Amino acid sequence: MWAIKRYPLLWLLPALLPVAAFIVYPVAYAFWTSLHQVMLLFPGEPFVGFDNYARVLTSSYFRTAFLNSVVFMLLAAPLVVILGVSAALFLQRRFAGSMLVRSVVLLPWVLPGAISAVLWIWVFHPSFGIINGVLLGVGAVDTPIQWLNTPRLAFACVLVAHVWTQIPFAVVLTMAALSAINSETLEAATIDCRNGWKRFWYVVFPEVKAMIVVLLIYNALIAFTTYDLVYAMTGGGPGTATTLLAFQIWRESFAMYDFGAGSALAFVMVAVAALLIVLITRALPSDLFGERP
Amino acid sequence: MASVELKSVSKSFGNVKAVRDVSLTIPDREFVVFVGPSGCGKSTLLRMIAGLEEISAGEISIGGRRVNDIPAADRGIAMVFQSYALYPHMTVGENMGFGLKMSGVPREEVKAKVAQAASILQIGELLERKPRALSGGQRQRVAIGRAITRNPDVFLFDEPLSNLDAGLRAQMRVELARLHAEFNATMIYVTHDQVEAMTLADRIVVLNKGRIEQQGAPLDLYERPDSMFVASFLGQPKINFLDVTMQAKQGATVLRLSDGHEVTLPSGLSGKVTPDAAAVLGIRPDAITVSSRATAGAIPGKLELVEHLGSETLMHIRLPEISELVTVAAPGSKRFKKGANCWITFDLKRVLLFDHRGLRIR
Repeated sequence: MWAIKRYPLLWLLPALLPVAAFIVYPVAYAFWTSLHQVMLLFPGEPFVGFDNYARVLTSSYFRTAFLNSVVFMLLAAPLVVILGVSAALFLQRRFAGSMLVRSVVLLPWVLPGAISAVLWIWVFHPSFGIINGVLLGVGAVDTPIQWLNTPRLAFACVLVAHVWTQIPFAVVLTMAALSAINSETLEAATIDCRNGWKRFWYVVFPEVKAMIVVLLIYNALIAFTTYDLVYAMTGGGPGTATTLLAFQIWRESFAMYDFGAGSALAFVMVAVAALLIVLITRALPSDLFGERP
Repeated sequence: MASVELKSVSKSFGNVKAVRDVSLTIPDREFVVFVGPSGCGKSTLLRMIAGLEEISAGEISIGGRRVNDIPAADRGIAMVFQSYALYPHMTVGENMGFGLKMSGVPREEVKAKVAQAASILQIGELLERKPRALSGGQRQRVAIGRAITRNPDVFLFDEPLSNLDAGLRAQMRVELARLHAEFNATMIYVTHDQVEAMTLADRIVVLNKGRIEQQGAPLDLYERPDSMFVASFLGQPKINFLDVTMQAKQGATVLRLSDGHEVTLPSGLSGKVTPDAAAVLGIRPDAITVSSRATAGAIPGKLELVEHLGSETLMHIRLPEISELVTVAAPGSKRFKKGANCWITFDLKRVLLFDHRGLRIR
């Protein structure tokens, strides 16, 4: 009996082992780290309970990074979705070269974050960047703007780069949702309503609403946990202007070699993100996905 | 209510000409059916009238008003689609009232119009449901109700029954005929189903390769087709075609079948007969009589397949040295055995002759 009951587990092992090795173990190890004093400069790893958490949560760095991340998320997620949905609606139309434009729009998706960052560093470069080049060229400004060295501007620059890298995914998902709409339904709407905007609002939008909500949640989480662009573009600066929470984790761990604090911060972030997901899904209307007749 | 007029209308998609130079006048209150095989341009033509497809050349007027540049919503038409095309997130009532709501009709009035249309179609109890909770037949009723609610000058139907099963299709066919009688509206109906065309139409327009092949009342087209195309498209079971050579003999026309048997047409045509010219004899299955005994002038054959349908019996008869089977429709009361020898005679008044181009010889 035992053998028969347990037998199926054997066949699950090949799938479970990698999960254990690459997810369960690292997470457990990180949690263990967060409860110990793990600093490269001080040998020994004594148990400190929740000291790391207390230290991280009360530091002024955490406040700044947390607020930065929240603002970043609140701006990035709607921007990505609005621009992505607009682009998808535009790309739905067939025009000369529409296939080419479709491929170009997807380009940022295939670029690794670091490469996108380098690209945008050059765009915003004070002396050689294309933006300053244009602004100086048309005489809009007479001294180069220090894009990445001015706190507010640097935050905006990272935001722009982040939105740019996230738009393609939103475009793809929205286009998929749009193409699932029955074309005859759209034609029926053309006969029922001459106003294109009303047609979108009453017929198209309800059909892609669920996808838009999914995109908003997804992008909120991505924005809240983003790290690579900050690391490559600004290093969190100037000052702490672009220090997002995920970047602060990196800084605690790999700049200050305080792995205990870094891990504690990581778990704080996971907790906030989890709370966010719960709040958002609670707030959604219950009939959003596959409503019952 | 309005007439519809098409003047030299054409439509091309790139290099493909879907509709070529179609001119057609549809008087007020007529039920016109566009029929033809897939790709004949019938749907494209309908969609051009609806305003869903641009008009490459020519002019379309509805109620005497040129509509080429008028958007679909302002043409005074309503359309029923093959896939029903209901708005999935709206209730049945909202679906039916959407057009009126969008044109700014007050809510109470919309409600009244929807209720009225719903009662005509007996879907009053469905108004609060969503389309996904309805059966195919109910959905199509709602789609028709949505068209009625708009109170259009012209109803357009794009193969509305082809997604329904055979029983429902027959039922909805009757319903549509009733609606036409009740509303007295101009209706244009596209189908590839010749039964729908025959039963619903005041006038059938047969389209082939983007052109009008022939138009007329259903029975006129059935009895007097201009071409083999029309003859073969209308009528179920299909008309029989037999290769013959023509001969004039003492004022009569003699048709020689490839097995040597001769059929003598009593009158006419002789003037147009070139000796030994090849032609095609067309004869409807119900214009052939089958006998189990040899009679004068009858052509012998063998019953290869018998289909007892109840109301009628279809016989597929092999004539010696003729490759096609001849189909005969006989009353269901007659009993025939598969494999038996038989003799067939044609109703000579109903023999149709076509030349090598497939055009009727009159």
